[in-house]
Amino acid sequence: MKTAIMGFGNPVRSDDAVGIYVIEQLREKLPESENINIFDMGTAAFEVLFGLKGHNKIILADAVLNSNEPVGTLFKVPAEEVMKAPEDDPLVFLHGMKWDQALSYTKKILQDEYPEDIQVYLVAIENTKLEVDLSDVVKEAGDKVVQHILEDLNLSIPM
Amino acid sequence: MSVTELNISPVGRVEGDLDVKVYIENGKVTRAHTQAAMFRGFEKIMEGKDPQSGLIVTPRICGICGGSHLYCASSALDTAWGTKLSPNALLLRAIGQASETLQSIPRWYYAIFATDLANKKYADQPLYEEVVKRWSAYVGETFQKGLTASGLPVQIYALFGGQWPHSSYMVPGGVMCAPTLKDITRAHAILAQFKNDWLEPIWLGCSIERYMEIKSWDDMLAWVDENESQKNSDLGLLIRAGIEFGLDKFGQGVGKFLATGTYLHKDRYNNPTIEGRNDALIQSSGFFDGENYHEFDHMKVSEHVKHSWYKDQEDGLHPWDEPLPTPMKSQTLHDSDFDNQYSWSKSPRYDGQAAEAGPLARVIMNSNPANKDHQIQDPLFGDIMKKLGPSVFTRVLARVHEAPRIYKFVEQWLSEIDLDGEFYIKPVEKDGKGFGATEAARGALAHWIEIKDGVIKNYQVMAPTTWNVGPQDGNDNPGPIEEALIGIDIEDPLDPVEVGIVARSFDSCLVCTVHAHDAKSGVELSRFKL
Repeated sequence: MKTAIMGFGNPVRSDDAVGIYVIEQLREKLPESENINIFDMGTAAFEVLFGLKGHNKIILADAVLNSNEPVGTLFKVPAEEVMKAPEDDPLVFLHGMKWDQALSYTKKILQDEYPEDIQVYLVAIENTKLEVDLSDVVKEAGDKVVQHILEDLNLSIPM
Repeated sequence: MSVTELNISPVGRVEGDLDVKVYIENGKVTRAHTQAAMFRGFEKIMEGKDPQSGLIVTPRICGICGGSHLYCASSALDTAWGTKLSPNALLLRAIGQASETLQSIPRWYYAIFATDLANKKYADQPLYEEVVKRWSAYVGETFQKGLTASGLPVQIYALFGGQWPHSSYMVPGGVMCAPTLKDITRAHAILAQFKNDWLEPIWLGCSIERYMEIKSWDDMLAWVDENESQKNSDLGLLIRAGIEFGLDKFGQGVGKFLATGTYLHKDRYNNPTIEGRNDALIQSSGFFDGENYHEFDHMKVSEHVKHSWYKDQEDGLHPWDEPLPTPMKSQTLHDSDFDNQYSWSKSPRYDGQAAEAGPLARVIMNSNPANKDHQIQDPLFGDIMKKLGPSVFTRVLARVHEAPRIYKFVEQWLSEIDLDGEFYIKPVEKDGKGFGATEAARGALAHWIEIKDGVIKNYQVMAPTTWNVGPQDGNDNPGPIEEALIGIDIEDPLDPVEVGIVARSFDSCLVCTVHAHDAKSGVELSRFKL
């Protein structure tokens, strides 16, 4: 059983950084294991394809705008629910593509190798200003994501 | 935790939107305006911060050019601090830059450019069926193979840089890594896989060595016809279909080219200075005005803001003299006043002139007779420019022409690393000004820094997209893409694919939406995304 954990976001866009914050925390808290790979995906999307390969279980963490919920609200969503078909917008690609589109493309390419268990953690945010500070409320939500992920992995590590 | 509906608008990815407005008369574009629709004031974040924050912040500017920004940020500090660089450090930085550019060639070609050739516009052309079979988005035969192969070169980057994109392994004074023999062996294996999976069998249809014998346009045409394998390779098909579809007939641009050059030679830049940079480059820098080559001098670079949403700034300042960006209120494309400000992009000028940045600029510099022995000497595009001139086709050919050479470079540089040698020499911090530059896959990229009282006083980033998509300058002269759009024929105003083809041939680091404007009827054309 191999697990990949991928965080998305931009550390220089305020609360958009939360996915990367989660990755940094997990790098500190998780023991070295060849069965768990942790990826700081930044603002890349296409790299999802290469990150997914060879894993059975995938956990993604990202921020979400316009969720109609207060900032800091946490969501856990099966990837199928948030996946966007790239065909809807075939020319938005490479620079413009997001992981939700990359996932559905990856499914086409990997076929049988595509991991079935993909869960997405999302944290509601509003502030994406050009700053390097993560707000307290979003940081707390990030800590909760870390805790959930540790539970998903059946690891009890003191926070 | 219950979720029913989510309206996901993925967050703040740094690449903004490009909107284009074109005026069409009798099916021809008569005027064009490019609008970068998103403020990208990353420089603002760095004001008053530690001089090294550029190493962390700037690689996050872009999800696909992070390594290039890191190359610039570390180089700018090298010149400001007067660091010492070991041959290993210069090699590992060059390998990082080259790997990033190498991945971008198939990824850009298949994912961004070639799918346009499968547009119905070309359905009557004899080669259309073959183009669709191979290059249709997602389902094309070689589309998938090329994209999959594009993941390989950045694995090399990650071996040394820890991860890709967004690594910070290049630092003033060298690199923060100490590769082992295992890493080097692994990198050679990844490189070989890239060659064996895609570059030779699918892209070239011949060996890299055979391809690199091509020195003129006639050689290139003879190479296509030499055998079935080359003729039917993806490059063979690009050349045949490109000419058949008339890609050599539009998208000329300003006809002037700017390259800041890259790949600092391992033995020629051990004491980094701005003055010594040009001679230390392997991929040479320069300005080509359409007839003559001129030596690159960063002091001749300036930015105009007459048509950009920045206030408290005069036109034509050198980046060291520019203030940090202060944004103004912007408008949508529909409400923009094109006599005044209409873009978030500034307009860079070289010696007062608009210039195209990108692979075409680079391969033109390769034909400069003044290039030194350690610099690339390749007459091919000097000849192609004389015979065909600039166009969408020439620009695309330039991009893909680089793959075999970069492959050979990475192979050579990997073998030159001295595992027992130095990788980092700790520098002494001091106040001052610095300049660092490279060639990102899509063109000239430069950073300027000023450090005062131990913190950043000024930081300016000039990206290839700024050179190419910038609006009119202070004299109302158009930018390269604006110029390249003028005169193109729009066959179907509801699907103006030609605009996208021109814009995408520059590989702008933006997502493009076109609201084309019909000058006669005032009808808004369909939204057209890049």
